[in-house]
Amino acid sequence: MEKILTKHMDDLNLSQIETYRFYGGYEGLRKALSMKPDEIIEEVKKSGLRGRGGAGFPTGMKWTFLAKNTGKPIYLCCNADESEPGTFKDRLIIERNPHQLIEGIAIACCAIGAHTAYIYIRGEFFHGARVLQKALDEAYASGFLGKDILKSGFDLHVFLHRGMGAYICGEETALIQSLEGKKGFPRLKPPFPAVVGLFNCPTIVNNVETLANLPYIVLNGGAKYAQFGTPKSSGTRLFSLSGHVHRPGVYELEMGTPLMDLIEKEGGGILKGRKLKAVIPGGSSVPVLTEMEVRNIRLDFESMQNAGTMLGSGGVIVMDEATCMVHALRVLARFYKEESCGQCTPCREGTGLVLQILERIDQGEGRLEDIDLLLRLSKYMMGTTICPLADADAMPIQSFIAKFRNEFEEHIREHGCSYDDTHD
Amino acid sequence: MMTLTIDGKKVEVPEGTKVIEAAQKAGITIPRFCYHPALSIAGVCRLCTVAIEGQKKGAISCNTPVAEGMVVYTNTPEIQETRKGIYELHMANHPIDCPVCDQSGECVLQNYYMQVGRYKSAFKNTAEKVQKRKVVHLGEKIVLDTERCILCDRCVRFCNEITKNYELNRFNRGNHTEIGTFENRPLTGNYQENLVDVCPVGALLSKDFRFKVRVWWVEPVDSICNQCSRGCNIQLHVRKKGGQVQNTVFHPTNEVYRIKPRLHADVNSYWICDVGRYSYKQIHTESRLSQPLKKGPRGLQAKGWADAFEDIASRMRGIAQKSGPSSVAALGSAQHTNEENYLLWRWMKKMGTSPTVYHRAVPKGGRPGFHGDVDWGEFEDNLLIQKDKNPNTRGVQAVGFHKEFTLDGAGLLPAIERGEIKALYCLGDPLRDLQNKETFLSALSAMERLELLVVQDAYPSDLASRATWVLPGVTFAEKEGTFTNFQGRVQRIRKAIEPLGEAKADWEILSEFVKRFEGGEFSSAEGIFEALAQEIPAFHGMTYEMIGSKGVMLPLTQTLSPQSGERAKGEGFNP
Ligand SMILES: Cc1cc2nc3c(=O)[nH]c(=O)nc-3n(C[C@H](O)[C@H](O)[C@H](O)COP(=O)(O)O)c2cc1C
Ligand code: SF4
Ligand code: SF4
Ligand code: SF4
Ligand code: FES
Repeated sequence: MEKILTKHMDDLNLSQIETYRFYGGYEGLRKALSMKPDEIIEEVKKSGLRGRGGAGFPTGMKWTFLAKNTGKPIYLCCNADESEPGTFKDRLIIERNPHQLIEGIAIACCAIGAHTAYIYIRGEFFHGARVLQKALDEAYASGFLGKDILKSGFDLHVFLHRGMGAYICGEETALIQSLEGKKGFPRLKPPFPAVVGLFNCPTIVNNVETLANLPYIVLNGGAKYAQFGTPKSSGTRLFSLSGHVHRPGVYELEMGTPLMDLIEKEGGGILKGRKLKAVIPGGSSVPVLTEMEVRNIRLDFESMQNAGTMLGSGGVIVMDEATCMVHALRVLARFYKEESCGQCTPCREGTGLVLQILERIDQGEGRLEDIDLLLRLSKYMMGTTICPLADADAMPIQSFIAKFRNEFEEHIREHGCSYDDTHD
Repeated sequence: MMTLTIDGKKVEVPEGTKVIEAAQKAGITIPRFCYHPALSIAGVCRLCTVAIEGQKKGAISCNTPVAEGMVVYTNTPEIQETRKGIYELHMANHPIDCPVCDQSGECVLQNYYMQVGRYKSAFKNTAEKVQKRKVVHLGEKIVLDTERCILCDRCVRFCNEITKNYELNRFNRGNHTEIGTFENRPLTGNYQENLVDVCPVGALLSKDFRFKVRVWWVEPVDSICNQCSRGCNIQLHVRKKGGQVQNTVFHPTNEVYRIKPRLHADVNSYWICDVGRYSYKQIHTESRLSQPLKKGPRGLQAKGWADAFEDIASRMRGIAQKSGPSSVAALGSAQHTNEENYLLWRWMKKMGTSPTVYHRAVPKGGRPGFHGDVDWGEFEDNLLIQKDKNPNTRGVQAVGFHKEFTLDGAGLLPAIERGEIKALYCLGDPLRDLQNKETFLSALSAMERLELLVVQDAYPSDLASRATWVLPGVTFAEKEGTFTNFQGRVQRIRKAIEPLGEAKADWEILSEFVKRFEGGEFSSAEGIFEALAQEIPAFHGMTYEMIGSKGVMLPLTQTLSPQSGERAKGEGFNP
């Protein structure tokens, strides 16, 4: 299989513009500049590319939602805030292949008519920010950014903006607020960013990986891209493999690859010869799969949906038989409690209460009614808030309890944990 | 216009209306915490969730625009369940200190417990609740309890959108979020007490009101603020005489305990200024006139009303007969009602003279609750507070008093000094605001040349102490009547408490003289208004009934003021 994003990553000089161009870099942009915006959008639609940030929304279609003829500038925001637990693939692109991202951004801007783009990068990505800024400077110096790009008459300015360490700023409207210099609170929708976004102007927010696919699509045509993967999940995808496997890391695989292939072939199987217990397949926010479910599932949007979970951000978290699911859920719940922005009551209060209850169960002080209470709280949090962070807490709760209820009951009954989950 | 069905009722509303407002129009109040009709939509409490046919998830009605043919359910068992859950989450970390909380009795959280809650709490253990700051003083007027706060964001939006001082915000994140000011700085400005009104719970409380009385012991009486010419619609919260009698020592009856704003979209929206809010203190001040006083050899002496009416009437008659009607003068007042000025005018007409001069207060210095770098009398802003600090300047002018009393401009004082005017009846005290000592003293000494000086006022003054007769009138809380605000809107004040001591409603005093001079009798302010509406062209055709709770515009000002007509409740306010 042809790799699209990691093809030349073995070359550690790829982050330098000469090397990137040596491998044919920026030819996609050159081609895009000769195309009409609608033609680019058409190719992207044909490619079937779906957002890699989490929701998997078709990228070409998203672009067509932009408010037209508003007389206002259009902005592109590249979402490089990558903070979802278990997800670390954007970081790889940023650090190792930054020019492909920049080229993707430039192509997207050609397509949507934006002359200013912002890259909102996670605050902790110090190194990534340095690499990316250097790459941006190179791109300006080589005429791929700035005024009159490649003498096409098209202007584009790209600014790198560092976040301050809040997961919630990865949510697209919180990202916009934060870029505007405000507190990173998700905005009420409607209106959607495509209509009222950054500085009240029509705005597209796309994930790093989504954008990095564009040079290939423009250069080789959408149809070529769509040959990879499955009809509804085209292309390749970066999977961040973590947890109890021998070789955790980022792997570019064709969509539709069996999940077990990722774990066994790429990841080298479970540590210490232990048995697989569960996998969270799409970053910490999606429902968990049991070992049984993992056996036969493929890595694409529709298979995941059929199994009641989601491909999310492509963060595959593997848990072996020694994992205490109560403790695992508690760790996740602490993350969401810490990261809730606190605007919506169900999320603000719910994430805190859930953690409180999980802590006491985990410590052997749980009450019999606690399991139902958790389920009740998760119901109150599901689909009732401004952004899906509350859902992201609720879905693991519901699936962990549905699939591993006995462990929760045991903790309450036995006042403690029988798992040895030291994984050193 | 769009037609939708809410709980089986069809309603027609303009495009862009939110479902919560459309429901209101259909007579259905959807429970809400963060929605406030005068503020932008926050959408954070989620209590207003409703079910919309064809949509899988519930939707918050405060941010859902209506659509043609939309079918909405506000009270299905599922919605009730959702609401209960959201309500429960609001309460989970709430301290429930209702017994010591001043909001108790008018707390939205309490009310909704009865309406949508009524569950057994799964989070009873207060030790497990998130602890936050409890008594946070935000300056002189407001105190904040961040544990009681339900983070509805209304106060933040009030500061951002109404006063635009951006003083309040949310600090921290998640369940440690707290409302506060930057570095705990005190709140500033003249509209702080409105925060207490917008706050649905006992998180923001008025230091002036708290611990004075439980709210269920006071009852509201609609009135109009008399502190400036805006004429904000207000409620006086009073313990009436003969009402519930418990605890009269700590909570005396016949007393105004606080002032609250009353919605008028075209006058004051939901707000009032703090000066108006604290003006009830002027009702219960120590220095009030409470009985008729007559100048005697040893200064002013208490007399009966019968004496006063008899003596003043006969002296007036005597002076008019001896020196002609033009030797008798009367001073109208922008601080008094249309009815009172009308009676004075009518009485003088009967005596053969036509009064033309009125006086206006221009208060010097500060006022309780006032923050500003000029005198209160000079201050104005672009929200509510008008430069003219008199509630009825337009009214007294419309009745027929055209000239404003100034030291020489209106010619009254020179005429007194020349001995042409021998009797003067003052409604209120025209000299109160003369701070310039010299002019004040010369005006006073001019007044002393009068054969008869009658001062009808609620408060003692230097002028009153030199009067032949001092007649104790009352404050706006103790009488009925109408004021005409700066827009030309005639609005009603209502009697909330009984007059102090032997003081009488000003219209009552004046109607006694009118009776003595023409035989006409008035037993109510409403009766006077009817006569006024017949005689004075500007008020033609008006009745108390028409005035209702929204007021009526003077016809001649309707063209001047674009603000006539009612605006829909939820609409933005733009004074
Ligand atoms: C709490 C939360 C955090 C998110 N964090 C990220 C993130 O770090 N990176 C990202 O690309 N998308 C993130 N998203 C998704 C974005 O809101 C948005 O859907 C995405 O950036 C759109 O890009 P795409 O269409 O290219 O996937 C987050 C969403 C939520 C609700
Ligand atoms: S769901 Fe949570 S994180 Fe999202 S806006 Fe509401 S409170 Fe903030
Ligand atoms: S202080 Fe009151 S108005 Fe402000 S957020 Fe809290 S509950 Fe709402
Ligand atoms: S603005 Fe004027 S009328 Fe309104 S409350 Fe203040 S003083 Fe009273
Ligand atoms: S009133 Fe609609 S969310 Fe609060």
